[in-house]
Amino acid sequence: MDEGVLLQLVAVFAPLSLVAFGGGPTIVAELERQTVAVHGWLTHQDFIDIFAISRVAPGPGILMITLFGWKVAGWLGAVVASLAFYIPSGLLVFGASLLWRRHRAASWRDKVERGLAPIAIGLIFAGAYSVLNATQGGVLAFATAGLAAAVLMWRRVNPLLLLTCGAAAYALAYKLT
Amino acid sequence: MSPAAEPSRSVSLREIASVYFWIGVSSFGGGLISWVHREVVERRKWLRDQEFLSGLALSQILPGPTMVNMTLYLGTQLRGAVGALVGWATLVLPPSVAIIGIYLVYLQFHGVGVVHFALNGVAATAVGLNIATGIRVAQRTKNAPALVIAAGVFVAVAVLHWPMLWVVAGAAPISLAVAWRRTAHG
Repeated sequence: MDEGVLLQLVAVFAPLSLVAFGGGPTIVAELERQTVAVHGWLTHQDFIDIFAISRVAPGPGILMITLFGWKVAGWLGAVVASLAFYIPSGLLVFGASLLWRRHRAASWRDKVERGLAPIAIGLIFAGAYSVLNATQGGVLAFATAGLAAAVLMWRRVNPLLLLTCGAAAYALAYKLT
Repeated sequence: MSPAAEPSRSVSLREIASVYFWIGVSSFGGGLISWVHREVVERRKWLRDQEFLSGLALSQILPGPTMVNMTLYLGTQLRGAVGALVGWATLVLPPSVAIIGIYLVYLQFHGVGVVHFALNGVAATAVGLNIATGIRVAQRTKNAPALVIAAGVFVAVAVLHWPMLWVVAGAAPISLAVAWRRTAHG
């Protein structure tokens, strides 16, 4: 096994762990940039497929990182990429959980939350934009995403149901063209 | 606070493992926090409502997936480091193995055009789900400086393709300073 690749996986995913405010959606754009453009580990289509599979598979959506690692360096890559991503923020949360109960009424908590919100918003939309560009689906992709967002804003629909509809609509469009 | 007001802390590691195993393998498409609440607060009474909500706030503020952070918080509150590790492992490991299995199945079919097309459909829909989340957060943040910062972050990352670490390192101090000033004056 090429140790250089494993070190690269750590170098990419460990720092991202510490800036993934709001979880998975905020780092999608950077994941795409790193895995496709910077390191050339994946093609655009590989990225889209893995992103989509991680949405319909059980478990946290962030499991796409495990698949990136697996794709790059097999089982060892999957373990290394996952641990690189989980450990830094995990230790932070563990430490904060120990301290949290002593400072539960702290007013800075609200300010930190408000201060980080604009960054999360910008990153979430950046992630949406880069995935839609990567699908090269043009108007159809943007329209599908817009429609799904509108449906979800209007009603609390089961996300899995929506994802299935998206897959079915695209499969139908494929058959018709 | 009197000890009597504390909920029962005699939660076994096996119970933590069983709750998180089921949450892990049955959480599709995210958004399972309400199910965790029902299981952990309402049914099993491991935590009080206030403790749960304060842990949720912590999980959202800190980096990392909210669901994973929340599991570490709960595990720590119930059984310390070992509880956190057991909760994390049972939440994350079974789905991690499953997703590789799913990917292996996908590789059997990945020459088929319709499969890629269907996955593009899933991806575009999933993006829609993320957009809805972004809109909800934006609706709560109804002030001009915050939206300008959000737009700046978007342009830097999506259009200019700047590395996210630098963008966050640059924008976070500004954004936090704005939030501090606003709450100080408001």
